[in-house]
Amino acid sequence: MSAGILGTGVSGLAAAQHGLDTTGHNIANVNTEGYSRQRVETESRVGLAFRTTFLGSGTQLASITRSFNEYTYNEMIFNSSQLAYHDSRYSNASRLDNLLADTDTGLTTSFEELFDGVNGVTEEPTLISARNVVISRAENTAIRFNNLYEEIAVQHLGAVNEEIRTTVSEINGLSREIAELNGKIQVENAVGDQGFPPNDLLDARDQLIKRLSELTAVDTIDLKDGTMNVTIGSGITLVTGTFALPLSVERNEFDSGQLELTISTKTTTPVKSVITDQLSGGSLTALFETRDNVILPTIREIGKLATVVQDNFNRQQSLGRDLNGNEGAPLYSDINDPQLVLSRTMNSNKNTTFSEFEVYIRNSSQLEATTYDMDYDGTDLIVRDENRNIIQTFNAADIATMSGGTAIQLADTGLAIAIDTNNLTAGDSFKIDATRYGATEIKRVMEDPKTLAAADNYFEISEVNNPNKVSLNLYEINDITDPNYPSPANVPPLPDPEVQVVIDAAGTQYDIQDSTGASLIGGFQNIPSDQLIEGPGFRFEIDGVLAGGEVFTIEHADNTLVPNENKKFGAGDNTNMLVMLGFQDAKTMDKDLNSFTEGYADLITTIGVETKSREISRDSFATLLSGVEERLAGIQGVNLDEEAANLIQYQQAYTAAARIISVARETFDTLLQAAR
Amino acid sequence: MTTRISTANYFSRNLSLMQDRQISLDRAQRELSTGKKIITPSDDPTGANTVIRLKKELDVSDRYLAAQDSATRFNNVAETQIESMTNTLYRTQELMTQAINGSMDGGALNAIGQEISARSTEFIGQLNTKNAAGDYIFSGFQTNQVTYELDEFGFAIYQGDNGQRDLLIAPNSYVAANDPANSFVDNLESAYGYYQADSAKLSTGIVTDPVEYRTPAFPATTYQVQFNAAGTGYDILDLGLSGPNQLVQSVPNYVPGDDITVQGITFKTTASNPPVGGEVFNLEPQRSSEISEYRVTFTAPGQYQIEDLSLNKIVSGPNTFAMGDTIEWGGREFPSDPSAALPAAGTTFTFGAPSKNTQWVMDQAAKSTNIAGTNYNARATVAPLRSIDLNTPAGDLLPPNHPAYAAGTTGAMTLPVNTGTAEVLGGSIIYPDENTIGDYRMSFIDTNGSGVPDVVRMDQIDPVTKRLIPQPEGATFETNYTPNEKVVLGGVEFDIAGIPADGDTFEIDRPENSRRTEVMSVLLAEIDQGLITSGNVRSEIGARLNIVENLEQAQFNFREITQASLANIEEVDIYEAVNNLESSKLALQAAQQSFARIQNLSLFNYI
Repeated sequence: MSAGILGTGVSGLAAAQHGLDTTGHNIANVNTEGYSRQRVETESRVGLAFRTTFLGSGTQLASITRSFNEYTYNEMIFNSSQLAYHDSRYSNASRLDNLLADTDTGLTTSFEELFDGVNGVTEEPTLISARNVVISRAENTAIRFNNLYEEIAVQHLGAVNEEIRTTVSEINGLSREIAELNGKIQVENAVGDQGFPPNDLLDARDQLIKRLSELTAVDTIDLKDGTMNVTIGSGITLVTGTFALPLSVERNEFDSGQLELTISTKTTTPVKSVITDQLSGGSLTALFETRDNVILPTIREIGKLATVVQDNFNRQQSLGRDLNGNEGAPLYSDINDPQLVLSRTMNSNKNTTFSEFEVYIRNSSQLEATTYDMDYDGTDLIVRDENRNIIQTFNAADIATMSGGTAIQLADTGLAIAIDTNNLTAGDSFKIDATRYGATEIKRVMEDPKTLAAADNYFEISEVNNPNKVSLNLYEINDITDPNYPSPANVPPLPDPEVQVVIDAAGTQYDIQDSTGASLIGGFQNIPSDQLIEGPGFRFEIDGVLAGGEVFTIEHADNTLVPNENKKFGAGDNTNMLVMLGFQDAKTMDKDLNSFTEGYADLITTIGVETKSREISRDSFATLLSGVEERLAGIQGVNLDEEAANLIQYQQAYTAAARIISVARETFDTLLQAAR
Repeated sequence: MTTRISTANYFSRNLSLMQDRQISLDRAQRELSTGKKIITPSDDPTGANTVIRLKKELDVSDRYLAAQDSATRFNNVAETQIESMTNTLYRTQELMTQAINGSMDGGALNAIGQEISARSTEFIGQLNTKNAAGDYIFSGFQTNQVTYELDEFGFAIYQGDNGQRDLLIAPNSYVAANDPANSFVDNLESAYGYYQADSAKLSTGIVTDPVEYRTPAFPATTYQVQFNAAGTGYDILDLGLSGPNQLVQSVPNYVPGDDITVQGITFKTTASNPPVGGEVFNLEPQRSSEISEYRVTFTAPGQYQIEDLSLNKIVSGPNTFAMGDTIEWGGREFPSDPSAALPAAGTTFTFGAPSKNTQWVMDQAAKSTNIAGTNYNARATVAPLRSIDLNTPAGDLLPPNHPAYAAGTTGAMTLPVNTGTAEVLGGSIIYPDENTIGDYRMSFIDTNGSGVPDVVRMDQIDPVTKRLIPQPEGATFETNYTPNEKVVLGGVEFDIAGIPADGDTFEIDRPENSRRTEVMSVLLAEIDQGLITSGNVRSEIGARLNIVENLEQAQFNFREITQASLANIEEVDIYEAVNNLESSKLALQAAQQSFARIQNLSLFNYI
């Protein structure tokens, strides 16, 4: 009997001890992230049967559990995954937002300075110093584009790529740790008693899951043996039991500068599937999303703007005469530089042999900051836009023409394509990205201020028949060495100084003829939808709706050998410079909808709207997360006041249990005393 | 169920709340220190777009203002120059008015001539002005070309073009920054204009004798000068006339460097590059379409109308027309040959106003002061290089009692050449009231068959056609001739040396000073035109300066409005910003204080 009471006291002491230990554990982990407070559950020991009565024999430990709610936890995981996703989306967009807002890096300042210079030349076209200003301002503009490209396409995109790599290795580390923990938990569960789960291991695993979910959204499946399977995206297994499947990064099929996420069952397996598009949530997904939806489009938009600036100034230069009376030289590098036209198409790395395409920008106003896919099915080359809509199909005859070096227009894209090296095999695919390098390839090439073409050109365009009063404008002079170009060198003898643009009766075809009516371009050609037509060494733009049967003459009117000499060169002529000054307002881009500045302002707005909406998403998920974290903390978090109370409680229980022992001893002593 | 609070979460939550307050305080502070609401585009994406556009508008407006300043500067410089040119022209006009006075003696005229000549040089100097950049400001686009250069004959020729440099001074609004000098120095509206030969061997032809002047007969457009094989003489033909009438005049004694005068139009030649034997020159009247341009259309045979091409409307007609009629419009006359066929319906020709250059007028005025003679000049009639028919129409070259008409000859004849030794030494006017100033043909006629002329006769000739104007027989213009005695005819006394033969003729030209008066009055009218054209340019410049001024004001107004709307979008309301700062500060303080108070409340403090 005395052993009974002692035993009971000891069991109370032990229980209080466990309570104090656990409370201490809780207090010690008050700031441990992901820690779930633990509770000691005790139960009364079943008493010994004593005749007809049961006498209690004290207490015993039933379980030590952690306060945890799986549903709240899962909600927290979801929201923290979403927050990480939106936060990364926001911070990457915000980087562009800040970059473009800065007046020092912004393009508008350099545009305005360039136009100030142009205005100076219109005032005094013979002043060399005024011309020098234009050249240096043109250079500044080019450098501004180059810097933006460097900042976005090299620095920012580089940082994104780097972050993708580190994130992927972090994910791999986390999934490995989770797999290891799975193993430990499995063992502990097997050897441990019922009611004593490995609480701290479970907390650690939950914490790893939370960190993983911040990188990419995960789904978890709890198994009976205590292990947890982890999947990402749309059911891609990352951890199964004690195995972790590693993720890896691979170069993009077309663009080796872009990384894609792949997975395989083993790192050594050569066949890996690309799963970039299957991800959701988390910062990794946000990186891919921002790269594809914000950064690359911004690079293309800026590239397009650079190309439009380059093209407009260069074409206008070609349409004027410089201070020496010569045809104007380009201000900027050629938008259709031979190397550049080759760089605009990328082969799939799955193509067995590579084919090379030449992509020419023939009408920068129609240019869009987008990519096109090209697939060869064995007979046709099919071009699709980003939404997979077919925009053109080149048949075998077209392909033969293109392989012969003649570029064929890609309808309404401002592009024309020729084939440089034809190794087309069925199944080959290509990507056209025409504006990707625009901002880095723009370079000021003019050196001599005298070569700035302030004066008008020498052509006199007159209409012979023009019922609808359409206007025929020179668009570009691209080759004054063409043997049929009406230059003084070609006069006399014929080809004569006058060429004619002749429209057929239907108004759908044109021919360019000499004054005897002989075609200079091999007969009638179709008029493209943008009404830009090609002549010997120059291009024209038809503005208006053709009635059919129009005839225009183009005469070289500064030539003593030609009767009409009314466009004699004069150094004080600023006509062409006035046209360039007009670019400050002219709608030269986005299908004649925007001026340079407006095009740039639209880009800024797009980025601003995107950043703002990302910020709002981030903030709303931050609020949601903070709420669910508070609730989860309410369940699993340690409250020091509570623990202090517990401490007192267990201390008192301990004192009481100790008192039981001392009572037992006294009782025993009393008994011994009595027996003496 | 009682809700629990986790201690760690409690701290972190309070921390993040305080951070939120700090962020809004920071934002309020940044808005205040930058003065802007929109710090990055995402703060207000559409606002940012508008800000970019408005700032661009302001930059463009700056550019307009800069261009306006330049436009004002360029136009002011030109205005000053043209003003001093106008002063030069006024002085010239004054001098010419003095020179027209018939009583001026040779010395005074010479002095005037020299001053006009100096003024002419001055005028060209003013035209050839360069600006600070070394550009000729009146040469149009040809700014590196001297504006006017004198050709080898002394005529100022415009070297520039019609280019007018425009500056963009407001949206779609251009103003000219220069004026090509030809617009106000050439193109003076003139009664006679000038002629140009189809060869550089002949100078520009200007009318030096308005009395003898006539345009080529319609439908011809040119006069023709045909040199003889030796290059020592030439015939002047009006191709619009037919048959023998084509020959206007014959000049037998050309010496390289001599002037060629055709119907009062004088062309200079050089001794170094003279016309040579057999050369033919077409002399075409030059007309300026800049002043006015007309088109004559024959709507039916014998009917024509005149259309003003600048107004694009019919200003005369339909008028009836017969060959021999003169078409007259706007001071221009187009005679026609009576013997030619009527033009077919649909025949058209266009003509502009005859024009002249100011310097030519000044130069001609300077030279005209040398025309000083008060006596009639005489010279022997010479035979033309070709035979002409005297009888068609009969009697218009020689008086009716001339021996060439003896025995009623009706066939073709050749103008006889003097066979006698006589020389008429000119005549001075002794009875001015009996004298009618004009050109005459003097004929010596033997009426009594003595072999020596006994009658001398003087018939006035038409200065234009060189045909006789018949005089009443036996009047003052015919008198008896006695060898070696003076002859008085029409109030003029002639000395005759030697003995004339029967039928000898002499050309008697009117005294030159009368021509000076005629020329000077024409030139004065032209100088007046010069003053009008430069006055026009000055008022045009004034109008431009006025436009620039108005547009400048408009730009200032525009800037004010734009800046206000820009401020509205971009700039922070200072009161609101201060208020934001204060309230954010207060909120942060409150959060910090309450947190500091609460955070040390712990049960552990009591156990």
